[in-house]
Amino acid sequence: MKTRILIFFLMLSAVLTNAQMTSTADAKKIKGQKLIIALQEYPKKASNEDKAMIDSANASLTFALKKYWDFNEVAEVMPLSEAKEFVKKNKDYCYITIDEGVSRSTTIRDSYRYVSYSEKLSIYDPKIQATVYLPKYEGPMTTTTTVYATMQLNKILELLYDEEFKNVMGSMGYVKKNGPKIIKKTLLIPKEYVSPKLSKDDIKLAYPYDLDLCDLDKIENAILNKDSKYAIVFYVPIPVSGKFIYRLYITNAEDGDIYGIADGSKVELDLGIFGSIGGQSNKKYLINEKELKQIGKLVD
Amino acid sequence: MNRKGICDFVVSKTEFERIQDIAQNELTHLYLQSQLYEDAILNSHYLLQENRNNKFAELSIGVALMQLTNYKANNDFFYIHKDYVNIQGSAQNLYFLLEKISETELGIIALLYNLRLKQKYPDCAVIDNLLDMSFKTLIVNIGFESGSFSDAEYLNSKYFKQAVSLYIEDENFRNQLKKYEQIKKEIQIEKEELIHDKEKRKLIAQKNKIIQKKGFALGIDTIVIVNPLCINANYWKRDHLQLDKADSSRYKLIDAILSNSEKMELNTTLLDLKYLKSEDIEAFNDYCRLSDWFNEKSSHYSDKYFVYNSIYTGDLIKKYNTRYFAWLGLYEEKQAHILGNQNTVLDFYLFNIETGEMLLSQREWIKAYENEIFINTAVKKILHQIKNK
Repeated sequence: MKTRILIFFLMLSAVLTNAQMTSTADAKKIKGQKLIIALQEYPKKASNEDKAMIDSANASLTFALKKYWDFNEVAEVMPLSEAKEFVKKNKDYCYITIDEGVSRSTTIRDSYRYVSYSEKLSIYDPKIQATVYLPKYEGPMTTTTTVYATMQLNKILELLYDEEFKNVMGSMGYVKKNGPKIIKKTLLIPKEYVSPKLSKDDIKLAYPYDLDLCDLDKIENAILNKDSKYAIVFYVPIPVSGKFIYRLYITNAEDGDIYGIADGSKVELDLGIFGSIGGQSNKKYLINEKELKQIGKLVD
Repeated sequence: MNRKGICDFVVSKTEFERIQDIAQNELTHLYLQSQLYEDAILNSHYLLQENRNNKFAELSIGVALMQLTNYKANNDFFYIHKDYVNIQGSAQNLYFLLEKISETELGIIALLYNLRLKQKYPDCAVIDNLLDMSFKTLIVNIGFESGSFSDAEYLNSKYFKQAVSLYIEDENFRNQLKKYEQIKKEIQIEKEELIHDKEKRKLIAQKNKIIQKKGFALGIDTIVIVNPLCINANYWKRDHLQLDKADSSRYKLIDAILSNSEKMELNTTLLDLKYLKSEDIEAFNDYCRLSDWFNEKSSHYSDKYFVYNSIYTGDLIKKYNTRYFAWLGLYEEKQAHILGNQNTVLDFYLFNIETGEMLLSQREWIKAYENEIFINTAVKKILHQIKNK
């Protein structure tokens, strides 16, 4: 029973990651609007370090949107508070910003046992219309992770607009069909993700097609250059129930099209008063034997 | 002796120049082995200024150009390239050119250079191999098509113009291009078929599952194992590296290899530095060449790259009557502060040193320290996969 509940939550979270409940109608609405890049503002008591982080995040967002976004017209860049006001008054506009996805594990009497956060890229109108979580590694967001999320959101909205699927909940069939397309590309996996217990033969047998275990630099270059030769593996932490679920996203480096989703290492899921399920969160590597088999099965 | 009565040369001048010549050529070899291809081109260029018929220097330029093209085609170029800003002197021009040039244009330069070598040394098998790889890199990896000869994009390129005139004049060149274009097409068709043919993909997956369960069946009768390496680390002790224990594990490992090989009738030669005597200079030289080969293979950024040292393996293959050479290492560790955290890892790599292909890469792992039974079982399992047909 526990396994069934876990599978249900994992599936739900996989779908939720991409643009939440965004539907074809939402995509068509966004297509007709102009996009404002809403920049984060300094909090009242911001240290120099905080200011530098916010500046860097804003620069990444502006760069990614100006260079990698073509779903609708990017009209203006303005601070978040101004963008919110502007969108409320002008229905022809929506805004995109980097914000935080928060998940809390509630217990009795409104206290939280666990709280988890993750950065996400969202479009507001002024209500939230679409969102994707940013991949994460080695500290705060980078230009590449923002570009990655931008391309992914752009592609999802395009697919919704073209009615490849009607809403994100129904996108799993499309993703499953996409799986074999990885064969045409060289699959890039960051070698830091892979457990050292796996030999090259283990990897070759689990995924018998073109594969390159490489540095993150190469993956970053493939994303920034929109290199059509590669499919890439990136992990995206999704806050669920006050903790994280790590999902491995296999996407086309050229346009962010999702070819498959696999689990990262197993983590414990907290169900509040129902206790917790899952476990083995002490795994050190994202790709162990089980996850490797899952990646292999995407092309079967 | 000079005017002040001081000797210019400790040895004779001729002997000095002979050794200098060896060292200069050796430097190119070291550059090629360490993926410093730009330095290899420069050094070979200086060698050719002294002797225009230095075949090794010409060959080295051919290899370096081909490897650089390959690295560019696979987007790994920046791992092996130094920024031209940090290079001083005339060498900067070369670094600048190689950084800015496109992979297609570099591929064409490599191809033209190796074609010229082929005309100069028509009977050299190494150049045939180089030429073959240059065509393959340009057409299959980069995806160049002979139809692009009419593209305006390339018309300003001096090298491209040379290639165009060759394409127009030389039928053999045209046929070679067509041959590799056909290979590229076949690869693309095969991939396309795999995407649409679920049954074919299932067959591959099933075959791999059987291998995962039962292991490989390589059907090899003769192998050479090169200098097994053992490391024993005990972090409970002040001196972590336990050399005496590593030595004893090494004997156990070698014992396991030889006894299991005998039982399986696998002809195993052990090229072990510990057993060499002063008269075994040839064996030591073989070991050095094989170490060069392995070091180069493992320092490439991917398994796709050509191992330059493979050029010199022909006589080793003849001498040991096999092209299959293996390297293995045993690592035993006992970590401090965490009771029971012990590991023994056996890594085994088997290569075809002619083609550079890795046939077996096994990692056996156990949570134990100094476990003789594990070593024997792991060796047995690996050797069985090599011998089994």
